[in-house]
Amino acid sequence: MTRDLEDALRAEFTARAQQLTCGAAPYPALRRRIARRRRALTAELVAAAALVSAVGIGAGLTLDHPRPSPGVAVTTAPLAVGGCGSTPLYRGAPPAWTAVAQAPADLTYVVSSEGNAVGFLFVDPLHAGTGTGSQNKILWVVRSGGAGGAGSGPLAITGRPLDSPAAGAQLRVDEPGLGGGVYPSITDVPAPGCWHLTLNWAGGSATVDLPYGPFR
Amino acid sequence: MDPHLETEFRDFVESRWQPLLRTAYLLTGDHGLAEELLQTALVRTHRRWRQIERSDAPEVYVRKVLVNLHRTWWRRARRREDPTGTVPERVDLTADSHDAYAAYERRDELWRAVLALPPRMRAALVLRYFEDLPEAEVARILDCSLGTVKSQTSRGLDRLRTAYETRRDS
Repeated sequence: MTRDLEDALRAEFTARAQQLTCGAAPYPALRRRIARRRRALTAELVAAAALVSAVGIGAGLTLDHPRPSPGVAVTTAPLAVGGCGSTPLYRGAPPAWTAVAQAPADLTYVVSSEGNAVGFLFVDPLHAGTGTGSQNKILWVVRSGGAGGAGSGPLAITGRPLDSPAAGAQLRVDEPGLGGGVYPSITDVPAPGCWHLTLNWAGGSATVDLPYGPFR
Repeated sequence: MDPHLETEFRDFVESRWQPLLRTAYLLTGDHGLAEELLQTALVRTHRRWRQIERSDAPEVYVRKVLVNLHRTWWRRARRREDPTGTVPERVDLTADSHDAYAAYERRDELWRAVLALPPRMRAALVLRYFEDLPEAEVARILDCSLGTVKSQTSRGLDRLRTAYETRRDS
């Protein structure tokens, strides 16, 4: 009886396996997954490094100027490529939770001081100017809560020059967003310098400093 | 990864995709799930490819990951299951056991019994009776002793016998 059953099982497995329509190996899709996984792992390492730094274990680490804000996912890898105020500009793996935005991998980006907003710069360096004078495209990705959900509602951005808290030149951008906390924007400013931006959305706010070069 | 290793990994995926997908399918019973399982296993394999390739047993490693991943997924899915008061309909095979349709139903009954086995037991049977691997190799993949493979196989066959041979003989 056991022999019959074993034979039946072999036959059944073979028949079922042969019914399966096997196409070619989806290698390109697999490569994309591997790349995504690698980015996510890098982001986890970056977050772990930031945590170590935040709790003081990494007190001996030297960080490039500008000094990153506490709690920001900062990498010890040589990814900081500039910036101003308390916000470095980064190249490399962005925080994993921004993957929803599907931003191109080679963009420079900034992380807000609170760690809850990331701006991908489609123009690098940024230039001062408004209207047709500039067009600094920045893709903002925001989230609400600690590790919580995506930001929602319109995104309002206000700004002022970092060294002139009471300066008259102000910036205001309102973006409806694409959902999922993703907000394409044209974030232009009227004068060059380091601008301190405040982002507000339903359920959160963030601050970030951005360097804008001369008019062009 | 080194371009040479990357090429080797690609060659491995392209040459072994189909047989590994068949194994994944027999473990899961679902084509889509099998593809997902295999891709996830291959992503993990890629991360350790340098060591795996040196050990000269990449296929054993992938099968190991397939089996372990499937067990993990199966446990998670089981937790999400809602109990139901309705028992799935079973076909009465005693009505006409010589009918071709009844033969088909017997096979189907066997397949459903296979899918009802716990994943480790099912994996032991798939590796033994589909892959035709020796018990020592199955033990290596399942990461257990030879005795465990024998007992898992034996108990699995017992369960299938209940679903299959009692109906065949009735």
